[in-house]
Amino acid sequence: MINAVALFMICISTFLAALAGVYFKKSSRTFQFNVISLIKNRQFIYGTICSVVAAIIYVLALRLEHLSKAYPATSMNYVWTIFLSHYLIGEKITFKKSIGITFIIIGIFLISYL
Amino acid sequence: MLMASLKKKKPRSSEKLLKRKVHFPQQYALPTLIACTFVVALAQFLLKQGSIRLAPTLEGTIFNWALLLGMLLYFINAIFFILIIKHLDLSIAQPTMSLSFVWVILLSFFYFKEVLSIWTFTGMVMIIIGVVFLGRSAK
Repeated sequence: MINAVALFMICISTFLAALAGVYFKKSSRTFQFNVISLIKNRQFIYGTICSVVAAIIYVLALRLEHLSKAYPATSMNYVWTIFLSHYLIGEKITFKKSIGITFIIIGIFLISYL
Repeated sequence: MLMASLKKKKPRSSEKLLKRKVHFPQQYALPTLIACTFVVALAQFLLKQGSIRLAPTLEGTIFNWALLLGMLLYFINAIFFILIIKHLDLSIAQPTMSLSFVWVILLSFFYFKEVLSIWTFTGMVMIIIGVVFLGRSAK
């Protein structure tokens, strides 16, 4: 079985990664290829910070658990994304989306465990 | 007169290019996303190639072209991803990135001649089915 502490850390890490995605989505409205506008774009900065922290927590979790066991757990990211984008941006949770994400998660587990 | 000429100073062409809003047509969003997943797979492939010949010195890192090219591809992917999610739902675009698994498996099958087990193949088909469902919910 997977280490419980590592699983908890991956849980937090994937949540932050999903949050970073939401911030990037918000920042995409005013996205420009310009360093100054990128620094001024507060949503973009928040997204970058979130994804960097998520990566650090993930690497710390990898010290406790093997990659082959930790990697399938990162597909939790998609579940967080569908809920966060529903509550923060107002995207709809549809039946097709849920089915698609379920298939993808089963596929990732099959590839990594068997 | 000098002041007026200073105020009217035309922006250079490079500044113009940078300040222009990025237009990205909506109908290209989904195909570009799939191209992005291939770019991610290519980047991982290059990082793997780079890690084989990685020397633990600064010089060995800087002149490792495969490693640098892999990182550059990741960066390009990040920029295009932000342009794509302007038009697509995040809850569709984020899971679709898992299509890069399929590309990685195909690359390692055709290039490294790795053995493709029946379960890996089933997982690959599952991911493709999931992405098809997501793509149909985009319309």
